[in-house]
Amino acid sequence: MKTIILHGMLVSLMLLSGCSTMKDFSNAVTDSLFTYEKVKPWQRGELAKEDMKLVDDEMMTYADDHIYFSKEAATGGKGVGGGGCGCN
Amino acid sequence: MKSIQKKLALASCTLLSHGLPGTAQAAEGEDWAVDGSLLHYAEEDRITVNKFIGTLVTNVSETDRVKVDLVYDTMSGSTPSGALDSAGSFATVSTPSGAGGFSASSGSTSVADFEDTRLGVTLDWEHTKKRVHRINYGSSISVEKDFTSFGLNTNYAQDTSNRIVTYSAGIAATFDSVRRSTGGTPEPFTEYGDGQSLDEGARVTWDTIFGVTRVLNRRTLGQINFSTGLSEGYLTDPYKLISRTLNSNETHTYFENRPSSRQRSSVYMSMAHTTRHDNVMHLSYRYYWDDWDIISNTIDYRLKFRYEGGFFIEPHFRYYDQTAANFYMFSIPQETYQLSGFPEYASADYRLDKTEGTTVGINIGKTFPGEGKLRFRIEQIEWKYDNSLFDTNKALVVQLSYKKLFE
Repeated sequence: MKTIILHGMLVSLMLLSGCSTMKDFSNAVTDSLFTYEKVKPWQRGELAKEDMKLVDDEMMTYADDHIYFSKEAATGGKGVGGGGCGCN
Repeated sequence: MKSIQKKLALASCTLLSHGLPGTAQAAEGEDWAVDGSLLHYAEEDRITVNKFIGTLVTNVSETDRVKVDLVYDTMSGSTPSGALDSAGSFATVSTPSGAGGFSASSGSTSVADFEDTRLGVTLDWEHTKKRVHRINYGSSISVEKDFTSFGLNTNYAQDTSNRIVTYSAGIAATFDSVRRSTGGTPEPFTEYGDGQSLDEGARVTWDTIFGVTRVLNRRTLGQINFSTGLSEGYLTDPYKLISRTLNSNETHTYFENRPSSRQRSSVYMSMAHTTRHDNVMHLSYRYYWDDWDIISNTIDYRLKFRYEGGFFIEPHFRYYDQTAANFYMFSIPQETYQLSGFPEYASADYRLDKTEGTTVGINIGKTFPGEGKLRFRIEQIEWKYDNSLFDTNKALVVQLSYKKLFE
């Protein structure tokens, strides 16, 4: 029951957060996601925003890496180094 | 101007990630940055983890930056041991005396009680030369009751002259010591409860990574990494068990045994894109393989909806699958045992079973421009195992983080 409520809550929040999710995603694909253009330095304003970092939330990424490292057999890919853990 | 230059450089540079990723970006344009986080992780009827993460980043000069991370975990609950549930069905299994941090749970060996704490510290120093060369030196130490880890790493990144492409390479060495909370490690394939113990286990892991990051267009940044690593030494889990069923009433349970080397490789692709509605999408895919015959796919997707006042809502979806390790087995078949004794390696650890995992979650927060960022997320993870005694595991993740920037 707790799981159903939680899933319901998460789906509701996702829907509330913007019904345009799929539209945005399809736009992104057809628009410019995979197109390449020469970008001048003065055209990189959007890229310079913090949200555009490939790792934009270090706390979340670190916590996720630890969780999945301890629960799944596959690991790594993003980088090397960091503290070890006896959980796997 | 200096701040803008720095941001432009950061936008086009490789995000070499370490234990705490994003080293180079944690204090962009600021002299100090402090990031703190509290995390609660709870599995249904299993393990609970409470974690504190703290990070301090400071520019010590125009070209040098230092980062210190502190992690403190408390872990408790129970976890599947790999043994078949045999409560009341046999008398050949007994709990080791004075198991301390880890012991068989309530008369059954299929789950084991677990309690531990972990303290981890990492230190990184990054030096920038002529704006396009960056070298990072890192070290880490992590201590638990039954585990100690010490690591060193270095990463190098170089931008092309037009700052469109960044090439990067990194290498890391990690030295681990593994033991039971009572000391030592059990001799593989000895019967649980016999008390035969060897010295603590030691292993060394070497990891390398090569990456290319490219500005694809004015709204898209892409990255591809190839990683490969080799672990050698004690790779067995000193707590995990595996059973041999003689008949419906009699089971013997032994400590597992894994190979003493493991070579892992992966290709990781990541992308950040600002959509025409000014939302930011993060998409990544990882293909992983190793010489234990585990092959895995991981897809991670987040879409951040940005609103006025710095508020944001970010749904998250992750899918994961893996094949089983070539020595994973539900139990040691009696026919095989009678024919040729123990196999060379055997483990019933559910984490080596064929697995599918999904994560659904949402991250909400508010950015305070030039001052910091507050965020809160809640997620549910569900794993399904193909052949394990416990075929599912569900976990709830709740995390609250706050980042503060200082001039």
